[in-house]
Amino acid sequence: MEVFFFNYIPWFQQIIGTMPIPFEYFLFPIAYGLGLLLLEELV
Amino acid sequence: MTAAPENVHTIANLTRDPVAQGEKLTVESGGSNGHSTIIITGAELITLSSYQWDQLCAYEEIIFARTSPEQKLRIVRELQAHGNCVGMTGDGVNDAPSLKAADIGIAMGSGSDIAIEAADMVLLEKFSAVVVAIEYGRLVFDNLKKTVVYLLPAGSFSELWPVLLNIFFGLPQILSSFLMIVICTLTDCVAATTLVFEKPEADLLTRPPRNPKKERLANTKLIFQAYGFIGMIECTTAMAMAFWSIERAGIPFSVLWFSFGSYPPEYDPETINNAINTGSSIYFVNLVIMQFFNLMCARTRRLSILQQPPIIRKTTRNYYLFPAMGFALGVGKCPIDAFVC
Repeated sequence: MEVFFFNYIPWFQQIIGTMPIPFEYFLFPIAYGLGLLLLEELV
Repeated sequence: MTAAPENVHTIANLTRDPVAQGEKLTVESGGSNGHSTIIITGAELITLSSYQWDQLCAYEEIIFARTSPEQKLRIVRELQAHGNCVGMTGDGVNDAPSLKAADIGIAMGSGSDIAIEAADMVLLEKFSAVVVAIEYGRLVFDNLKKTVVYLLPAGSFSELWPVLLNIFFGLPQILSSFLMIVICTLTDCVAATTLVFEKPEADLLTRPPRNPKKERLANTKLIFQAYGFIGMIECTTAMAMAFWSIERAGIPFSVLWFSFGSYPPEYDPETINNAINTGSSIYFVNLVIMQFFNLMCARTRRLSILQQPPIIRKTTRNYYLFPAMGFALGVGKCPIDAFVC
């Protein structure tokens, strides 16, 4: 439902000011997150 | 009656029986097995000085024999005044004042109505239920700490820095205010709620009792863990990714640095605006995904994730975590996809 809410109301698109992002930017944080988890386990 | 000065549990028995009987009672029940025990009668009690009360609190077990309701109340007050957290159990009408005065008044379900009214906790079945109550009390406190550690890194630290960098270093606000609100009200809060369902860690009952006067919910160590460690890593990686993406879009960091919103004319304002909006979305997605891993870190305070696995093992699992992550990703992706169609 949120998809329709944010996607199909033009006013929201103007206000929100968000952009679609390349897929790799979903993968970098996974690597950083694994690093974070590893550090947290070791400390 | 149980009192806890720092690390030691002092057991104090209050009884109306004469000394001999009181003594017999605890010896039989195995109460005084090799520990330092002292017996005080109600008549001796009123003569004690403050210094003597201090000495009395050092004993592991104190038997107060032949005490009246007023003396019981006095015992509770004195123990509290000497820095103890006092839990008082009782079932009679004469226990009611001291039940009320104690930090935790514990009444028996079979006791008098007045005692039940005055108590904070009522035991319906057996006395050992106190241990279960302590365990759950500690668990709630522990899980609250986990929630704080989970929420602070993204919800406050990583949302503050884009604003500070915007004001003091003239960079564009790299996380848009709308996406800040999405983090605070949608993506973070469901996962934070699921931490309520975390099972107790194995050492929960073996830890020394908390001193409520000194130990707060969020202490320096917890704040450092949330801001200095997890928050720092989340914030810097998200910043790096966001500004790197802007750089890849053809706008070097030196153009943004100390720009305060005015850019050189050779850069198209539309291009800059789109690049910043993309950077903002990247910062947001970076935070949302790193919060999944933070959730895995935050759900244990002492143990490793391998000792306290979130799946399979019945005593440690918490399956609510995963739908919460799915929700965060689903809702988080919506504003990101807004321009696709």
